[in-house]
Amino acid sequence: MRVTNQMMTNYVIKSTGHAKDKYFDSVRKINSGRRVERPTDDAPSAEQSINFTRMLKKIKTLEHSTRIVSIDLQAAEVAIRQGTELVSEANALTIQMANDAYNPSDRKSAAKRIIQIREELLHIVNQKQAGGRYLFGGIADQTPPYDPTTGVYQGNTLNRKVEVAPDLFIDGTVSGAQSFGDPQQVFTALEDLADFLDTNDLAGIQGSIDSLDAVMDTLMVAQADLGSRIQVLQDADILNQDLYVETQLQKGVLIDTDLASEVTRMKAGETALAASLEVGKNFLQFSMFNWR
Amino acid sequence: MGIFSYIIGTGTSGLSGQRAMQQVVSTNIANVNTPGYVRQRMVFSAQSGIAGVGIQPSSGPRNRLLMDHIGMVKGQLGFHDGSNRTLSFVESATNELDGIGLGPRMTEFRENLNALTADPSNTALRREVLNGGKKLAFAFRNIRRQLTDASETSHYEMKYAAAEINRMAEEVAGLNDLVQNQEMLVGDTGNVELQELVSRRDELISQLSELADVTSVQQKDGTTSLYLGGGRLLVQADLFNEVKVSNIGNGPTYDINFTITSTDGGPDLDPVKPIGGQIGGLRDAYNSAVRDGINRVDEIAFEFVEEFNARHQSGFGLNGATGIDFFDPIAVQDGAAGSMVVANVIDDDLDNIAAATAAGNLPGGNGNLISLAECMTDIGTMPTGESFYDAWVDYRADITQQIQRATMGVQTERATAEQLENLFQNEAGVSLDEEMVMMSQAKTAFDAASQVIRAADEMAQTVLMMVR
Repeated sequence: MRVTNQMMTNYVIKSTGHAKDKYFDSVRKINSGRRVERPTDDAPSAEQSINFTRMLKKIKTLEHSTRIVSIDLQAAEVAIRQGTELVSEANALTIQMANDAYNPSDRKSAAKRIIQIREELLHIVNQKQAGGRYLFGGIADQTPPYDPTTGVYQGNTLNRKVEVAPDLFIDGTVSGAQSFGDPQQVFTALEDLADFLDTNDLAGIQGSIDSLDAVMDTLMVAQADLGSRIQVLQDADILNQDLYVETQLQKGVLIDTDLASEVTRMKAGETALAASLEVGKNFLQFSMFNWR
Repeated sequence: MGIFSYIIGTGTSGLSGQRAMQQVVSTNIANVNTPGYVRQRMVFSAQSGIAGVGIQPSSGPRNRLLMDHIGMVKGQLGFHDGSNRTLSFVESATNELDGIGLGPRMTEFRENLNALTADPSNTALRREVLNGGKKLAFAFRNIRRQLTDASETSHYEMKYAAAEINRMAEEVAGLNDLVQNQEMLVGDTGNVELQELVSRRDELISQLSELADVTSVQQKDGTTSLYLGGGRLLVQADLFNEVKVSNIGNGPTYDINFTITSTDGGPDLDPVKPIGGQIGGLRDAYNSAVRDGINRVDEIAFEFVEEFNARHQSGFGLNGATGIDFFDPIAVQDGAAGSMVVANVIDDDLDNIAAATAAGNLPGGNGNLISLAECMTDIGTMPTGESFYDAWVDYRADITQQIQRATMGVQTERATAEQLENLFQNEAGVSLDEEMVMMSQAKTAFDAASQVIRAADEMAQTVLMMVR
């Protein structure tokens, strides 16, 4: 084949352009820190990266939801534990007062303590968590779940399903009716007990022991339920954190520049470009005037 | 003295032949980098009955078949290049790797709704939902605006390409006229100027082939006729027609139409088959990526607003309100994305965000929020059976695929064009090495001819001296 000067010029232009493109591509990747900047740079990686970004946003939301539910459930667990201690104290006092060794005056004093316990318990079940929501109203969490005077339950037994890890939903609310008995078992039992103690009704006092035992059982079940839900939340939190780190890593591998290899490539590109420019310069300087 | 004049005549013809040879070589060297230039050669021949050599400049080989093939490949190259130009605008509008765009806004809005599910009466989270909805509406409006800009740019580029085609067609017609005159007045033989005109015309046709896939036909009178669009005449002798770009319907989704208009008042003609080249690629990408993209975004926005509002209407706000639209309802699909906004009633009172599925579930019920959050990704919400998000991802993936196809096409056709141009150069290009050899030969032959004349002169002087 004849090699004409136009062919050589075209070749020099092409190879210089190619070397320049490769060099500036490396510079761009190093400057931006991104290997993939447009979908056409690497379509599958770009699409996967977008999916990873979606996943990261979702995990952030899940972490936020987990935090909110966790605060509520932990506060409810503390409240139920305090309630259990109060009911347990009332139970012990009842067993004590059922004994013949105590006189009516002792029982009147005990009745006063039982009334105090009832009020303390009412205060506990009507407490709010940090966000201002009531803990034991079910999904009716903007009003006190129990009537502050009568102790009548005003909340509901509905639960709010909240996603705390990908496709893992748990009940994010606590119902007072389910935790303390149906519908206000504990307050009725304590009110009755106070009456029995005040009136020195030994049979009634004996009967109250069974009622309080039933309340204790209900509280134990509620505590166990909350404990398991909090455990799920802790597992979900760990899962979310692991998933976040793993997704970040995967995304980085997909679209971030591997600086070590890219710098090497840039140096190689720089050398190739310099060589190509030198060849081009020598070639284009050639003319009839320096021909010998 | 007959012998001396015979020798001097032979030498003189050698001198003028080699001088002409040097001129041809000089012209070749001067045009070594002129695009489309075909090297000239000097042909020496014996002259019957006359001493010395006859000279005849001739153009180098002009392989019409190869030139047509290059034109065809350039047409394909221009087509893919034109597609790429338009698609690159669309790609930058749909590029979501930086976390901005319609897809990320859909995700953000979904996550705003999901976050509210954990605490439906939280005012700050409700405000986030409102802001997420506003950002999503803005993203729809913005992508439509960007596609509208791409539509206008594409339209402008088509008009610019048509103007270039028309300018070149006029120039080819002008060159046809000059070529025809040169042939009539001077003739083909040894006409260097004619060859330069033909080279210039061939180069123009080659450039024109990239803008529109023209077919050239050599006429006996030396002119070249050009056809495009499946046989519509663009240039014949010194007459030329014009390509006109017109739009039918309302912008920015109008149909682009190409017609061939006669400059002497004849009727406008539609192409028999689609015009290729860059202008064809621009229109193809406009149809498949811009116009269809705008329609697609409008469809997604229209269906989404309808579905989201239906779900929102079925829920209950914190204040017990129900049957409320979240986004302002959109009456028609055409232009839907451009008019999407959050309803004032939501903006004015955040309690109107319907989180609960029933009045009895207030204030902490979140069933409707879960349904609203899933609205983006629920399968079957689009008439095509996909989710809104998937419909958008499909369009985005389609754009990427089109760009990759066009880029691959550009690379392939460019490589083919380079190969063919190398073949053309192999046959018709100028090699300085060759020209140097020719120049050296011409110089030596010129010296020899000069020597012959000098020798003949000396011989004649000697004879004259002898006679005296």
